[in-house]
Amino acid sequence: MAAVSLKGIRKTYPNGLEVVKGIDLEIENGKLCVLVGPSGCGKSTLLRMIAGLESVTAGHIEIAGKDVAALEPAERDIAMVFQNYALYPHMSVFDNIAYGLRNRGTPRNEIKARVEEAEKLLALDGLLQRRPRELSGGQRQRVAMGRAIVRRPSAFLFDEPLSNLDAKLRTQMRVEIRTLQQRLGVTSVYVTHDQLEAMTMADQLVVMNAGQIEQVGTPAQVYDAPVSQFVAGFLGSPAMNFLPGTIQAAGDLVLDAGGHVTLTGTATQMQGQRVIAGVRPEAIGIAQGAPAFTARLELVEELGSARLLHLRLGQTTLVAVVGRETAFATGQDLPVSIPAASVHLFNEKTGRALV
Amino acid sequence: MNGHKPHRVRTLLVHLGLILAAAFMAMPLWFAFVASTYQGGDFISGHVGWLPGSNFWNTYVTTLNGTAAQALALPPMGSALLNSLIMAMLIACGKILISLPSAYAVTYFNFPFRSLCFWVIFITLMLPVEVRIVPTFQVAATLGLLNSYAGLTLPLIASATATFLFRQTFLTVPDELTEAARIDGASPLRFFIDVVIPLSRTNIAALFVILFIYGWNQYLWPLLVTTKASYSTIVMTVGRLSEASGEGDPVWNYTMATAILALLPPVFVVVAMQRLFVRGLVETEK
Ligand SMILES: Nc1ncnc2c1ncn2[C@@H]1O[C@H](COP(=O)(O)OP(=O)(O)OP(=O)(O)O)[C@@H](O)[C@H]1O
Ligand SMILES: [Mg+2]
Repeated sequence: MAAVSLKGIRKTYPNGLEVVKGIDLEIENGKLCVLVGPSGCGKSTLLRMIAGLESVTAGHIEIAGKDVAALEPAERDIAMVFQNYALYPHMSVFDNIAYGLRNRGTPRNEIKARVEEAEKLLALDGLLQRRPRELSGGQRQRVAMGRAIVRRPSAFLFDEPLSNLDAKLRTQMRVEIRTLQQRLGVTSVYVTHDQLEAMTMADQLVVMNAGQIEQVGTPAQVYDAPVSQFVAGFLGSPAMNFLPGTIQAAGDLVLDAGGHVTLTGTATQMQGQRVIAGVRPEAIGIAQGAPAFTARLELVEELGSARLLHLRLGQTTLVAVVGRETAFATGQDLPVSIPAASVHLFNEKTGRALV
Repeated sequence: MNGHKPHRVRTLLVHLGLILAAAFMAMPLWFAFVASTYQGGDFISGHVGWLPGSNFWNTYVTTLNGTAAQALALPPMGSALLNSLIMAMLIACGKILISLPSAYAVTYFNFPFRSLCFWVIFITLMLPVEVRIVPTFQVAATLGLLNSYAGLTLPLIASATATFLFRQTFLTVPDELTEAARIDGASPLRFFIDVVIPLSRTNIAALFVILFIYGWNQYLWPLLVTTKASYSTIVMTVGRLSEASGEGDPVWNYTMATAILALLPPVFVVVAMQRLFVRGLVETEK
């Protein structure tokens, strides 16, 4: 059964701007669904509509099988974690976590028990009497989580909960949130514009663009088989390389920038078609196998675990990830090979994936 | 070592300047105090210098025990102070109690004619009691409010300053808090009491101080609506003393002593609430 179900959701703001343009989505019980997309694509708006903080222009929202159209946020059986935590600054951590329970008339000893349970679960020991301003960013984030979990809702909603943290803490909290979510088994909708967060956390990954869903699937599915150039370019870091070209004789893609890429499968029957070839940086081979073209090495970035090579081919640049076995000097001309199986082809005009 | 010297000299000069300015501001107060320690006539005849005279004890005892007021047929000191206190408290608390919910309404709720309401409230800023004194007196008289605490305070309570300031304060409360509270199941009233008011604590304190002094210093309006001595305020007493002349001599020593005494309660309020007051004026982060 779908824990959260969205049907034909639309949102037009009073200023006439339509920011969500028909979203259909089913999120299964206990799964973590990540909404990812560029800034301004309507992720937060969609999440806030699920929460009931924003009115829905058209469409139906069901949470745990119940139509929530007429329900206040508090009645929807959801909990939300905000980007800047939205903790009540004048209340102690205990009161912050307990506030939602108190408003629901939960008995005193039950509140105490639940807050203490959250305290253990979130490693908030000894912090319950502090004010939010006396906590670090990571601790505040945990308190915000605590406030969400004590209510035992049927869904958690997260709106970029980690974007105020530094990189290291973000990685750590990412794991903590994911672990906790799996342990509690609560259906979650998680909004982010960070593709790494999206890839690592999601059971179900939803890529949004301009108020619409581009693709839904597991992170691996979406990464391996992007349905459009937008999705392909959005996921993965460094981003996929795009090389325009024309398919000439069977299986021979002639790149505009110069060079030949060999294609296999159905692509061999698309002779004469203009396409954009997408190649992930880690798929590119340097000085191995038959070279597709030679490119000049312009810059080497050291990552520690690997190296990024910035290559120039005519007017285009491309990025390759290579191991650290071989050293490369900038200014070198390198033979670049592109395995046929790793090439994604996109329609030059529509950006849709071919094949 | 050398590098420090000009710095110290400059600090010294700055401090000297500040001390002089402070002394300059305090001068009238000092003279009021000095004048209160001489005989009534000495002030006029120019016998009053920079230093206090020998009559301190006598002046303040007779002022406080009411002998001085009695001799001049003025209301007793104690009741005047009490009246002032009641008036200032009623005005300060009344304004705050009315302004908090009205500011909450115009800030957080969407209702028809909301901005009209706000502007109507705002316009009253331009109509203090002094401007509308004749019609206000007429209304107060018709309602039978003359010689009552209600008459003393109600017309002064009705004004927009506090509503306007609270609205500005409420606007600084982040929207996320409102949303978090909605998800936490807080009703609008609960949110008001549990979140908005505690977050405005320092602003309420600051406003209380300002309004208390405003109420305490009222002169014209109390003069109009009270005719009975039992409703007379301390500021009115100061005014009457400066006109009264007992057996011929103006009683400047009593006038000044009363003025000094009238000063103490507001000073006490400011000192007691200083920490909150300053934070309320300076603090912007919520
Ligand atoms: N209250 C509002 N009134 C009018 N337009 C709004 C309102 N809130 C958001 N918008 C607009 O709607 C669009 C989508 O906003 P939204 O906050 O959903 O984006 P987002 O995907 O969450 O972006 P980000 O990653 O930057 O948070 C934006 O263009 C924004 O300017
Ligand atoms: Mg957003």
